[in-house]
Amino acid sequence: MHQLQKTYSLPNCTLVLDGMSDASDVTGGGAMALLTHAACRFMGHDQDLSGGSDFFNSLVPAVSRYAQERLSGLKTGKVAQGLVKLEPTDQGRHQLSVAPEADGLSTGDQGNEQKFELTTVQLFDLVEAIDQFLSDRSTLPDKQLSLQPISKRQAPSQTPIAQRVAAPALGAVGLAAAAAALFALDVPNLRRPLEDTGAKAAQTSGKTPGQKSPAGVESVDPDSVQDPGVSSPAITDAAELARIEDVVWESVDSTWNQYPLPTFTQDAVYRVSVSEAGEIIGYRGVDEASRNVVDQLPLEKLLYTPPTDAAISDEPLAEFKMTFTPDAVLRVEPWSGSESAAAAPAADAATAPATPDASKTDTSQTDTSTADSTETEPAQTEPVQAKPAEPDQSALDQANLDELTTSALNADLYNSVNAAWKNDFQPDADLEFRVKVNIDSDIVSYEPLNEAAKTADAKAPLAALKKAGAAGESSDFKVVFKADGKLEVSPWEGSARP
Amino acid sequence: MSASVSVTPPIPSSAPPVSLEGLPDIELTQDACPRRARQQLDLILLAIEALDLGGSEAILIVAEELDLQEIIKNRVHLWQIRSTNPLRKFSQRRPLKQVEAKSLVAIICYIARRLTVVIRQLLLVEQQLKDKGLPPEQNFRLAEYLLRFRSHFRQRMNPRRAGVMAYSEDEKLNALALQLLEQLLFCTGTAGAQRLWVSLFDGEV
Repeated sequence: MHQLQKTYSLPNCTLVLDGMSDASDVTGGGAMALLTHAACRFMGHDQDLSGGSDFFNSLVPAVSRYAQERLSGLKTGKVAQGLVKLEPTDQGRHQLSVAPEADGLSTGDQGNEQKFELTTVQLFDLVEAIDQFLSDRSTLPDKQLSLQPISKRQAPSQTPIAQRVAAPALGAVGLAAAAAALFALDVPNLRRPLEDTGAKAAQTSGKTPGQKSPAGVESVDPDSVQDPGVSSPAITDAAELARIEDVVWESVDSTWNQYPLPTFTQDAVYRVSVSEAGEIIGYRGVDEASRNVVDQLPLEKLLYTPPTDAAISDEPLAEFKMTFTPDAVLRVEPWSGSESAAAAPAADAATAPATPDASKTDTSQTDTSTADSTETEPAQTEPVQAKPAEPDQSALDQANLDELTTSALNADLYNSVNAAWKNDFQPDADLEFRVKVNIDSDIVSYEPLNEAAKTADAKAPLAALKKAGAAGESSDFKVVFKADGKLEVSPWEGSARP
Repeated sequence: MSASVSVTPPIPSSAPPVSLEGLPDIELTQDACPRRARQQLDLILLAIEALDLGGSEAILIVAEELDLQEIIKNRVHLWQIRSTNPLRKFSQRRPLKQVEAKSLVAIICYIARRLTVVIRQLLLVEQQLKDKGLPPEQNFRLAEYLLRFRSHFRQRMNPRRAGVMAYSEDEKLNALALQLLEQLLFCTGTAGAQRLWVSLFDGEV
C-alpha cells in the first residue's frame, strides 16, 4: 500500500486527490484504490474547497447533474441529497455549497458550510477536472462517467403538458358530467348551443342558458353564456401560448406526416381552438377552399371527443391559425398574432370553430333555427365572415412558396450535377456557370461566367444534363466546380442557408 | 522475412462511425428525437455560425472529417436535418433520427473544441461586464457575436411562431445567445459529446 497523489489541472480549477493504492500494490505503480482527501483550488479564491471521501462522493454527482441542467435547461425536480449543492445566482454565477462532513474530516472551516461562487468558466473547469478524473483508469477505477437523461418523473415542471393537466381537466369533465346527468331529463337541448356557437359555447355546457347551477358548480357569468365570443377564458399569456402551440404543432404535424401528400394547390387555413392540454376542441376553415380539403387534414382525427355526451370542461382555450400548405408544411401561429385576428372578435357561427358534433353534422341552417330557442342570438345575427385573407399574408405565403421551391430546385440541381460530374476531370481553376432551371428541375440553359469555364471539357457535365426542349419559367442558379473538387450550387442572388 | 499482407476487415455497413461511439441509443417509442432536442441542436449550430465566419462551411467539412458523410450527405441534407427544428421558417416534416442527431452532436463538439479559446474569452468578458453592471455589447467581440446570432436567428426562424415571438426583443435573444455560448463551453470538454447527447433527452424518457 502506497500513498498516492493525483492532480487534474485546468486553467481555473485544480483538483488534487490524495489516496492509497491497493494492499497488493508493492511497487507503488498501482492505481489509487482508496481516497483519503480531495481538494479543489479555484483561481482567485484563497481557500481550497476540500474534504474527505464523503465530500468527494457527493461532489462528483452533484457537479455532473448541474452541468446537465445547464445544458438542457431542465432542473431535476427533487432536491439533491448529499453534502454538495450547486445553484445559479442572479449574477450569472454558480453557487457551490458544501455541508460539513459527519466524520469531521473536512479541512475547510471545520463544522461550517463552505460556500464558493464560481464563474461559468470556473464551473466548466471543475466539470472538466472531474471528467478527466472519471476517465482516468488509474484513479479510483470503480468511478466512471454515468449519465442518464432526467426522467419525466424527475422533471415535474416540464412534464409534457398533456399529462400534467390531465388530472384537473378530467376532474372538471367529471363534474360537468355529473351536472349533466342530474339535469339531463330537464334539458333535452343540452348540446344545441355547442353545435351552433362552436367550441366557445362548449365552455358553458354542462348547463344550458338559464339553467340553475347544480350544487357545487360555480355559476357562469350570464353574459358569457350569451356571447360565445367571450364565454371562454382565452389564453393570452405569450409563454403559455408558445407551450400549447408546440404541443399542438407536434401532434398535428406528426399525424399529418402519415397522410398522403396534399393534392390541394393553395394554402388551407383553419382557425383552431386548443385546450391547455393541447387537444383540439374545435376548428373551422376560413374559406370554402380550406373547408373542402378537410379530409386531407388530420383535424377531424385529432378532434377531442368528450368522454360523455355531456360537455367539455370549462378550461381556457387558446386560438391558433393553422396553415397547411400544398408543400405539406404546417404553420401554426397564435390567432391573435396573425393578421386574421381582426376577424376574431366577431365569433360568428361561420368563423367559430366547429365542435365535435358540428364537424360531423356540419353547421347548417337547421342547427341555427333550433338554437333560436336558446340565448345565442349574437351568433346567428352576425353575418358570415370567413375571409380573413389580406394582402400581406398572401404576399408572405408567396414568398415562402418561392423560397421553398428554390431550395427544392437547388437540391435537385446539386444532386444531378454532382452525379453527372464524375471526378474524371480536375479543373485547374474554379469553373463558374449561371444555370437556368425550370420548375421540373430541368436545365433550360447555362452560360459560362469565366474564361476557364468556356472550354468544352468544363461545359461537359452541364451539356450532358441540358434537356432539349425544356422550357417554361426558369430560376437562375450559380454552379461552381471548384478547383479543389467541390461542387457549389446556390440560388443566383445567394442564399445564407446552409 | 516474408512480406506481410495487411488485411483490413470489411466494415459492415451497419456499423456506426467511430465518432459516434460513446453516444448510447436512447430508448424512445420511435426513432424520432423530441422537439426540444431538434430545436437545441439547430440553435447550437446557429451559435457556432455566429462565432465563426466559416461556421456553416465547417459543419460540412467536419462531417467528412468525422466520417459522417454517409449520414450527413450534403448541404441540402444538412439543411433538411437542421430544419426539423420546429421554430424554423421552413420546418421540415420529417423525424430527426437518433443517428442524425448523434452526428450533429459529434460535429458540434468537434467544432466547439476548436473554438475553445474564443468561447472561454467571450464568457470571461461577459462575466466581467456583468460584474460592472455593463451590457455585453460593451465589448466589441461579444457585440459582434450577439449581432450575428440575432441576425441568423431572425433570418431563419418563423416570426409567426409563438416560440420565436418570445425572442422578439434584442435582450431576450442576447440572453439565448449567451446561454448557448455556455452550452458550447460544456461541449468542449472531455465528455462534452456524451453530456450534450444525454441532456437532449432530459424530461423525455
